[in-house]
Amino acid sequence: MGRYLIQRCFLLGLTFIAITIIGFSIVRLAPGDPVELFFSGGLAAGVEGVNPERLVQVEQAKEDLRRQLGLDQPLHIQYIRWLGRILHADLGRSFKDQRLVWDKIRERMPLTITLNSLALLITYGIAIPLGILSAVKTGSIADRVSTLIVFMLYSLPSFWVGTMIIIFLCGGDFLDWFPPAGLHALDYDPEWPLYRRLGDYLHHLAMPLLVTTYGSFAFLSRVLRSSMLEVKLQDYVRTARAKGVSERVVILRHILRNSIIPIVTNLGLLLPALIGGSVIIETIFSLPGLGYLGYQAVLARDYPVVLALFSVGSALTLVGILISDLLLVLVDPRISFEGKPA
Amino acid sequence: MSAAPSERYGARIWREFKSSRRALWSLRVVALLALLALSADFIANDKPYYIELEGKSYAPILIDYGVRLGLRHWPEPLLNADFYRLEERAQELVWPPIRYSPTRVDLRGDTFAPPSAQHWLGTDFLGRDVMAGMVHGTRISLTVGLVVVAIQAVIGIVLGGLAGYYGGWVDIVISRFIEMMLGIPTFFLIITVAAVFPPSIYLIMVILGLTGWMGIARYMRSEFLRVRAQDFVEAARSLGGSDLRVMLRHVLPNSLAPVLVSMSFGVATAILAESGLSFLGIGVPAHLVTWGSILSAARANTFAWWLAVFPGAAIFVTVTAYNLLGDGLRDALDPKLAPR
Repeated sequence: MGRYLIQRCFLLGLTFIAITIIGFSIVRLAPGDPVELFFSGGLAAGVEGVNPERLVQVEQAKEDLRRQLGLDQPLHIQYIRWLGRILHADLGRSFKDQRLVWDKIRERMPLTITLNSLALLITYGIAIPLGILSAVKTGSIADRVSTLIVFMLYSLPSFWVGTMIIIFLCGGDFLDWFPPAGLHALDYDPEWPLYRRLGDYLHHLAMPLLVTTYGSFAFLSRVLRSSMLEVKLQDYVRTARAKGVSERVVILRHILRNSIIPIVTNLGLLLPALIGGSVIIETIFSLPGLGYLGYQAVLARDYPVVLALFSVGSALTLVGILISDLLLVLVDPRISFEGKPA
Repeated sequence: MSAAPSERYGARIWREFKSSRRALWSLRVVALLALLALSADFIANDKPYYIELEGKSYAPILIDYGVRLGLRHWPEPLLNADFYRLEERAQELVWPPIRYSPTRVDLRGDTFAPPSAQHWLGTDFLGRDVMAGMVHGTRISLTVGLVVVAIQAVIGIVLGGLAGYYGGWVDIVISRFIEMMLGIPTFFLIITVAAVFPPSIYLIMVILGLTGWMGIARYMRSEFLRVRAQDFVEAARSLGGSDLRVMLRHVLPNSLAPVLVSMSFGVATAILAESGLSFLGIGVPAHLVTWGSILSAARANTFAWWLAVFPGAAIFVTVTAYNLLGDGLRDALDPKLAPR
């Protein structure tokens, strides 16, 4: 196991380097000089008037900055330096407001993590019972209805559902049940008692959570259902029944425990969704999380922020894959990576 | 070895496929969408099918095709013509069912007009007809879906096939490469590229194609591994067939079936990805009317429910149809897995 882990981590590092080379090259090959963008504050900023005397000074300052940022070096040297910095969590400064990218990411992380952890809890909380119910009562009306609903939920684009919720439930011309944007009520006061603050928070997060969750719980319960149906036909299940084990124990111990594997491994694969998946939801509901940060950075062509989120996203994806592989070994002792060329 | 058994195989698959009503319906919806996409110009257009002007007859939509292909020029009386104005002077004029093209700004109608007899599904913030945009959006969505999957299939089949056929270090190298690709956060790569390059629907198709082939490659690899070990492949090889010939003529045709399933799901995923990007306004040019871009206009104008309901439903129906088609194909190809 230890050797396998070391091999995997080594490969993981190599993969991370390869991926970031791709991301780095794309951004560097982009039309537009980063220094020009730095001075203009991204493409979103306005163009200032031209003053011939100042122009010389500006050119000089640009030259200095270029040297300071290492942009006068060849591309591969630039990449190695950038990689060195990123390993020290130095992600550079935003073009837009010259703030440290790491600070921007850090202040937006809590919201995205909260949203996604809650979503994860809800997803598993619904998917597992639903999957069990549907698999145990195969062919019943409950199973058929839930299969149909789950299938539809699975195909419903989240950006459509989000937009529909905003239009019909969030105070447009129709119902006014939920706030359409942001995290706090307009009259929000930090002095409010805890229950009121919490209520306000949940009121704002309810719809984003719904939109984040429905697709993944539909997917997971489908996976669990089909995996349970497969296990249900195994000989040892029949044996368990034959020796008089109660149906409840057969389902929970013999079937469920053996069919939970794909569900558990999915846990690791959900990690990258922490950032990626939240772009659409946070944008629709104007929630100041990482996804919204990425969206705004793209529109403003704020390359350092985009590249930083790309790198963090890749790292999370790779770690997620590793975690799901390790979980696989933990959950299912039959699976071993020993002796297999990794 | 070649024609007869594979035909019987195909017939069996078709029979299995037909036996599921869901699968059959999904195929019908997919066919209908394809028909819509192909005939979009004849369904919604601001040019008439037929116009009779000063004693001469023209077919403006057909002429338009010729002009766009560079085969001919517009005849003098129709050059830069506004057919709405020509309507009074024309002796005879036959309009398509929807008299608007997706980009046509209706100056007579209002912006944000709700659905009415004139604009069946209303108009958007520029007064463009939503119905026309929906019909022509079908074409964009399907094109994206098919082109993306075609790119994915070519890369996936070649790499997966090579890995499965040769095994050994070829397999190791390709498998590592697949794992590396799986580590790329596709959505963020697209966003990064979109932030850097000018918006283009072709660029989106290429990126979606280049980043989504790994599933097909994995299927292909395991299929090639399975088929390679069978006797008829051995026979073909001992008869002196070259590697390329054995791969293309013997292994490939026997490995393609599961890839079809993957491709069907791939179309759904690609359409969803493109409409999501259009919705965010990332990577897709602003002048292009797509289902996602119509929907995104509803985000800022929450009273215009028709801008959200219809394009969203279109995306939903299309994605569901391709997912069900994939489901049906899978069940038909592997009857063991079919429910009950």
